[in-house]
Amino acid sequence: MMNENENIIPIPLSKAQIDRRYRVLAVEAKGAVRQRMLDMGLVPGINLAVVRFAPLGDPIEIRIRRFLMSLRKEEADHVMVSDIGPVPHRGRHMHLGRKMGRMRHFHGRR
Amino acid sequence: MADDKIIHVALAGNPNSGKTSIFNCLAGTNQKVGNFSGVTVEKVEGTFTHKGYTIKIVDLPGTYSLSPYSPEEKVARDYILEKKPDMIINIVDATNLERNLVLTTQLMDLEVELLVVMNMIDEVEKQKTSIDFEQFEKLFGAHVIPASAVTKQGISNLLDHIVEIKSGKIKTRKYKHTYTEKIENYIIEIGRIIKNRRIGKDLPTRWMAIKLIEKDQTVIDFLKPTHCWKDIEKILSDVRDHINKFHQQMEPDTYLAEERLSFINGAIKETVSNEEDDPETPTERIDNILLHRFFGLPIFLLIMYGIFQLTFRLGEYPMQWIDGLFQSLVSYLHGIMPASIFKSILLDGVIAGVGGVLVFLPNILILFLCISLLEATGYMARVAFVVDKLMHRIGLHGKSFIPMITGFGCTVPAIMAARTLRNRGDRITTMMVVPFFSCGAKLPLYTVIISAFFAPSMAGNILFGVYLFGIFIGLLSAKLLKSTAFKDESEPFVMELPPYRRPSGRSMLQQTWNRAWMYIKKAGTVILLASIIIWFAGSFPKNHEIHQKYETMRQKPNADIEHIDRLEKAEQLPFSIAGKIGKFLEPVSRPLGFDWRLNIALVNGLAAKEIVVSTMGTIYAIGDTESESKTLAESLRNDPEYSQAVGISFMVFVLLYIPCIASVAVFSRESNSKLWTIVFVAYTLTVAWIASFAVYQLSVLAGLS
Repeated sequence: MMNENENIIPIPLSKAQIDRRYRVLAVEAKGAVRQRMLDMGLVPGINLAVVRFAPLGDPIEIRIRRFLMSLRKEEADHVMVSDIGPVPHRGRHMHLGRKMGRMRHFHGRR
Repeated sequence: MADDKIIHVALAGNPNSGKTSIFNCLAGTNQKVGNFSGVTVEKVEGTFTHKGYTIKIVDLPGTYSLSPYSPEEKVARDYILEKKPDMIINIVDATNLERNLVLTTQLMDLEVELLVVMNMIDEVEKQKTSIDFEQFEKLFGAHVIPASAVTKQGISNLLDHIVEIKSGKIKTRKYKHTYTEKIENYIIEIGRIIKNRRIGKDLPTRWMAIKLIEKDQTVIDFLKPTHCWKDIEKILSDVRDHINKFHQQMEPDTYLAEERLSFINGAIKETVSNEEDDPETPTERIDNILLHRFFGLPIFLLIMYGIFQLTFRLGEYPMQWIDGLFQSLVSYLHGIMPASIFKSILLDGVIAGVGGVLVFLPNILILFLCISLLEATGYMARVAFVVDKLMHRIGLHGKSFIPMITGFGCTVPAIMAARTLRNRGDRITTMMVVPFFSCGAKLPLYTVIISAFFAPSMAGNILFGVYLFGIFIGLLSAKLLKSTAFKDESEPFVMELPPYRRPSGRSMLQQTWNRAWMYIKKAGTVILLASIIIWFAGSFPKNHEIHQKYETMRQKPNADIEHIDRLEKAEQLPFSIAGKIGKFLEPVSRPLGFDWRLNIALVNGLAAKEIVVSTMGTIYAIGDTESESKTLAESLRNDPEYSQAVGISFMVFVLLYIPCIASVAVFSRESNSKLWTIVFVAYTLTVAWIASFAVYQLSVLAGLS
C-alpha cells in the first residue's frame, strides 16, 4: 500500500490545499456523517484531489476519481489525509477553466 | 386478477442516478403520489400492464446505502424488508459505477431478486467506454440491462425482463457478494446461530449477520433481548480482533466498506474498458465558472433572482386571467340568479374559495418547474454548496435558501419548496420560518397603513424596516428551533456534486404536475371550507331592524343598490359572528392597540392576507378598487381609535401571524404531523403577539399615539 519512503504527515482534510492530491489515512467521523463518507467511497487508502473551496470559504469540494463531492470543513476535520503531491496536468483543455483554477490557487494561499 | 399476474417491483438507486426518469419511462402518466406511512418521504407509485401482467412499481427514495441514518434510507430498507417486493430494480448511473455499485452490493446482501439497470448508457458510449455486461452479470449474479431514460433505449427490454423473471422464463442466480474468507466465515457462523434459533424468520439472516458486524443499531436492538445474543457477541468480538490484527484501529464498518469498494473496483477493472484517465470533465469546466471564487456568488444570486421574477412576475399574468375569469363568472351568475342565500353561498363562498385555490397555481407550477430544472441539471447541489456557510450559521442546510426567498413571494409554494431538504429537522425548521419572510399579499396592507400614518418621505424606510424585522425573526426562529427541538437532526453536508446533465423535459413536467395536483387536492378542500366559514361568519346573524331600514332605502327610486349594500354590510358587521369574535378577542388585542374592527380584519385575513385590506374596506363601507385605497388610508388616519403606534403594531402582527389557511393546509400536508401543524399555528401567533405587544408599548412610550 503505502510507500515506506513517503513522508507521511497526517493533516485534517479541512487544512488541505487546492489543486493538491491527498491519500486518506483515517476517517474519524462518527454516526451519520461517517456512514455517508463510507458510502461515498471516502475510505482509508483512497486518493483524492482538493478541487476548490466555496466562494465563502466553506464547504470544500473534492474529487475522488471522476466523482465530485463536497463536505463542510467541520466534517473534513475528522478525515485525516497526507499530501501526495500536486494534481497532475490533466486532459486536453488548457483554457479559461484552468487559468481560473490557477488564480484561485493563488488567492487560496492568502 | 390472479395474484401470479401481478408483479410488485421496487426501484432503488442513488440520488442522481436517473431513477425517477426511468420510473417515468416505465409508468408513464399513471402515477400516484403519497407518503410512505408515518414519514414525510414522498412515495410515487405507478401501475401499468405488460404482456398480460400487471406491474405495480414503487419508486423508493434515492439513497447511497441502506444504513438507517436518514429517513430515506430507513424507508427504502424497511420497504424492501417488510413489503418484500417480487423484485428490486437497481438503477445505476453507468458513468459513475464506483459510487453506484456500493448500493448494489448492499442489495446483494439482502438476497433479493435483483435486476440492475445501467442508466445513461448513451453517455457511456459517448465517452467511448465499453462495458462487458456478460462478465458483469457473472460477477454480480444479477441480470444487467443497459438503458437510457433520455434515448429510451433498453426500456422495452427491461419490461420484458421483469415479466420473464416473474414467469420463470429467466432464472436468476441470487449471488451474494462474498467477503474475504475469514470475514465470510464469521458471517456464516453468526447467520447459523440466528437461523438455528429461528429468530426474525422474516429477515434475511446473512444480511442481519453483516449488519451486526457493521454495528447497525437497529439490528443490534432487535437481537439484543434474545437468548442467542451472548453467542453472537462473542463472535463479534472475534471479528473485531481479527480486523484489528491486520488493520490497526480500523472499525469493522470501515473495513467492510473497504472490502466492498475493492470488490467493486476489481469488477470495474474486469468489465469496463478504455476508461480515459481523469480528463477534465465538462462538469468541472462549468463549475470553474459557476462556482468561481468571485463570480460564483453573483451568478448564484442572479439565478435566484431570475427564478423569483419568473415565478411571481410571469406568474402574475395567468393569476390575473384566473382572477378575471372567476370575477366574470361571479358577475354572470349575479345577473342570472335570483337573490337568495344559496346564491350568496355560491358566489361569495364557493366560487371565491375555488378561485382562491386556483389563483396560486401559476406560482406553484412555475416555481416547481424551476426547482425541477435546478435538480435535474445538477445546479441544486451547487446552490447548497454556495450558500451553505451562511445557512449553517443558523443551523440550516444550504438548500433552505430557496424556500426562504420564495417566501417573499408566497408562503404556499415556499413551504412546498422545502421538499428539496431531505432531513426532517431541516425541512420542518425551514417550513416554520418561511412565513416570516413577508409574502406579496401582505404588501397592500403595509402600503395602506404607511400612507395612513406616516409621511411619504418615511414610507420607504418603514417598509424596508418591516421586511428586515421579518427576516430577523425568521433567522432567530431557525436558530432557536435548530438548537432545541431539532438539535441532533441535521443532514450531513457530505454530498455529491452530480455531473451537469441535460434534463428530461417530460420527467420535469411530470414531477411538477404531481406536486401541483397534490396542492389542489389538499389545499383545495381546506381553502374552500374556510372561505365558506368566513363568508358565513361575516354575514350571519343579521340584525332585523337594520335590515328593514336598508330595505326601505332600496325600495326608493334611483337607489344606488351597491352603495346601500356596502353601508348595510358595514352596519351589520358588529352583529355577525365575525363581529362577535372581534369583540370577544378585544381583551387579548387591546395591549397591542387593536379594537374589535381590526380583530375582524385579522381573523378574515386567515383566509388570505389580501382580505385584511378588503375587510377594512367593508368596515368603512368603502369599495375595494384601487382609487379607494386612498380613501381607506384617510378613514384610518381620521379614526380617533388609531394612531402611528397602532399602525406599526398592526403591520408587525400581520407580518408575523399565521400566513393563511392555505399555508396551514400545505404545512400539514408537507410535515405529515398534526403536532407540528399545531406548533406552526401557535408559534406564529405567539411570536406575533409578543412582537406587536413590545412594539406597541414602546411606541406609546415614545409618544407615537
